[in-house]
Amino acid sequence: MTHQTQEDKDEVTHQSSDYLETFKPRAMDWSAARTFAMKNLRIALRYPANIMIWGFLPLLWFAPYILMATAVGGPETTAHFTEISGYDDFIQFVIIGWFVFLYLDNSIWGIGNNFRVEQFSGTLEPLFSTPVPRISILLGAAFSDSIQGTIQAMILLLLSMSIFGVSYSLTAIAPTIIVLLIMVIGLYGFGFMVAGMILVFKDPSVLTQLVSETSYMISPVNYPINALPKPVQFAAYLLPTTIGIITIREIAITGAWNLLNFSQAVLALGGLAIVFWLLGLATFQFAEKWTKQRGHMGGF
Amino acid sequence: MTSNAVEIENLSKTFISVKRKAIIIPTERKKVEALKSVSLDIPKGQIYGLLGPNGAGKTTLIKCLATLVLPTSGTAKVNGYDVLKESTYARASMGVCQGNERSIYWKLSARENLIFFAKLYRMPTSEAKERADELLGRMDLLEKADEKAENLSHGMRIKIVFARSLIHDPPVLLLDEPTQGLDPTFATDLRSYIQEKLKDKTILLTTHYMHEADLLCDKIALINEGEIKSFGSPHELKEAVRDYDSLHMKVVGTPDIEVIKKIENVMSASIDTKNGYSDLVVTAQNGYDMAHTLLDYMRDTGSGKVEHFEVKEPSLDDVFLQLTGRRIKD
Amino acid sequence: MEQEEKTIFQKMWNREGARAELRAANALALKQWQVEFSYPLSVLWFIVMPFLWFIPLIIAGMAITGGAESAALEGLVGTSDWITYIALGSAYTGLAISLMWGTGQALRREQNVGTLETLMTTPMKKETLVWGSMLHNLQHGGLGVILQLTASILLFGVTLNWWGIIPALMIVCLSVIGMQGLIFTVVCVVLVAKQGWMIVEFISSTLLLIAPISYPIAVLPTVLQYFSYASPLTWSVEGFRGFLMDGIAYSGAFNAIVALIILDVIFVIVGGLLFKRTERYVRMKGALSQF
Repeated sequence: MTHQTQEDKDEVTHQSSDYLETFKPRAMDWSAARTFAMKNLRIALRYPANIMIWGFLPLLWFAPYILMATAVGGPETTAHFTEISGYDDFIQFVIIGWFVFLYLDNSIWGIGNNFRVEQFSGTLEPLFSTPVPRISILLGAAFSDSIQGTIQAMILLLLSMSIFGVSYSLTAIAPTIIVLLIMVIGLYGFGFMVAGMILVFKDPSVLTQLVSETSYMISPVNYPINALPKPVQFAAYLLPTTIGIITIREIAITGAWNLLNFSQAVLALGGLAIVFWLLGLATFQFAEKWTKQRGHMGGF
Repeated sequence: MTSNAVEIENLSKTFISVKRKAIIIPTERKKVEALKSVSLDIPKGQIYGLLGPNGAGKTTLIKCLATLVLPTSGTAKVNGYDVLKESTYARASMGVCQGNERSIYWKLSARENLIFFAKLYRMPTSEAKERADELLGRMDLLEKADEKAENLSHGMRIKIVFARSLIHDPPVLLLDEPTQGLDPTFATDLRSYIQEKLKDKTILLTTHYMHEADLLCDKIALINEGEIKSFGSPHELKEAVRDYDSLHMKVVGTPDIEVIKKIENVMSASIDTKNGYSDLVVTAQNGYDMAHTLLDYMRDTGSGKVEHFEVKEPSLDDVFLQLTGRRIKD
Repeated sequence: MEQEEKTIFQKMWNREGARAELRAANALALKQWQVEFSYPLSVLWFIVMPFLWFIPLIIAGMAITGGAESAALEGLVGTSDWITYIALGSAYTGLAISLMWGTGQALRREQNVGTLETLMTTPMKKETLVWGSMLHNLQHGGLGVILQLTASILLFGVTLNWWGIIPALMIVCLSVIGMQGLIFTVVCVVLVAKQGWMIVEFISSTLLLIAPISYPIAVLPTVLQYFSYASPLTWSVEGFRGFLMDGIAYSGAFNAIVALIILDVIFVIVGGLLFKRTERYVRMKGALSQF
């Protein structure tokens, strides 16, 4: 008898529809991620000037370093720089640093901007009320950012190579792609962490700026890593891009690649990627719960 | 000086929206006439209402008066000051309350918000504090005065917005949907405040709540598609359709409204269908006769089953329906 | 009660003029501090920001020169103390960025959040809105400069000529006038263009590239040098640094001051006209609330 009433109750409380009948919660919704990425790319294509500008702007950011090097060190690369870095062309050194660093900058700003745009346009809450796992939305955002980021990085590389008349070894292309791929996967985890922090602190512009400027400061972009104090060097190696910059720079400039060094770099990057994914997911989940409890998601 | 606090003469506003492809090349130009030669004078101390559905031009009119939007042609004066040529004086003469909770700073407390705006209205700090507390008291917000606006309820935020528009005690108030989305208690509070405490003010109120307009306004302008369709006191407006009855029917099913509109003696008709039930409103000279006609029609065609019907005195909504063929809620 | 209420409106009416505008600008600046400090991270950002910009330059400089002396710089500008040169250049630039970026962003924010329209319904001048925001960023950026210079003196051995402080402040005043023109332009772009902040990013990055922050303009390609001479930022940085390094004996003082005065006039006129037009245009389109 009691069993019967229980069933009755179930019948009344669940209304059904075609959608609900076929609906199953998923841990990862790839099609949603793809949809979201396509949406972002479609919006990005509405503003084609953006991609061009983002490929060009970093040039304005690193040109001052090259000019400064000329001012304080003279037109030739100084002996001291060659001594501590092992490279004899400062410009060639800096450009490849920026090429790789752009991926980090993109994953920080990309996710931050995504959230800001959704928050401002009021679509963040509706987005989070769909039955799509949040991680899929984040991954979707990350995919579209990687595609845009790669286009921008390529524009920057080719533009700078022609402006400053530097060239890199062609044999570096295949290993560079491998390293970039693993690095980008690691960066996704890093991006999740940033996204979580944005949800909590609610001010994407300050937070993303803080994170991006700090990571820029400790990355060996404009200077070799041993120009940094020892403890900072350690922190720098925790960023997925640091190993990426060093490895790609070595292969691209010298053209020679040592299998042992390379596989070590790949392993280290893979390890970092796993750590960042775990950390990123945990941070984001915590942040989401935190904001939901306080009901602050739409506010900023 | 005339005795009118607000004078609007032949005010028109046309928005041109240009759709662009690839940044520069315009692909489509669209003209939207938000206001078509609107004229309206509001004598001092009167409350006038602008009643109409969304997109009728109410907010554009308010924004033109508030100097936020430049009209395409025509003139408007607030407190005797031309909103185009003497815009600073016009702004100083009025308080604008857009029923938008986003028009205050959520990161500041209620008190900080009011003090801040008081200073923009030229008050020294001490006077600003006094004035803020006075208004907070009147709005029953003193207890929450130091709470950040983001932690307050929607209704409380709207109260802050409303208090902000009173900060310099202006002779003219423009209230744009002040009670929209408010829960009934807050809305009633606000309405009785307007009725009782703002008697000496000239108020232009936009709303799409008919009972609000009916309750508060001395005169009402019914506005649709940028034009004032009819104007008068709530009583006069209803008087105009007094010869007609308003028949309200609750129907199971969805009768064809276009067919009903063509039935003999039907003056106007509208339908609102939800979950298989339809609310049918028909105006006709004799509501009871019309009820019979419609009952017969639905039984014969099987297009619906009437569950309940009622013949009512016409409301402002019926007046609007009669004039425009649209209901205000649309 | 009724009598008293009348006087509130009357009092406001009679308080027209510069003092009222100043009060409004002050209120805007104060409000901005209140809003900023309600974001927990802003406080941290405020302290760290002046260094984030400056430290990478120092590290790069160290990697290149290997010490505190630079013969190349001495050949170009007459001083081998590159750390002081860069510290002063970037300190001033911090202020300029805060003024330009901060003001543009602040109005953008008001627009996004929905308070811009409300501000526009108050009887203050439209320009006061920008001045108020500028005032805040001047305070904000000014504190940043002091913070960075103090730290540079204590940590990096930067030396200042104390006699140069007052003339350097004068340069700041002249600079702010000219910057105002730039800021009004930036505000126009931000208010009108959909992707305005990108254009602003572009303008400010270019201005920073051609400004003599961490290098004298002599190392720029010749075309860029011409642009550099036309930028008020160039003369401001030169003047500010010149006075603080050489005191009243600064040899480029005359050039910097005259150039700044001329550019001030040009930029204020252009910026002011642009702002007037933009403000009308925006109201014509009714786009104050859109973005």
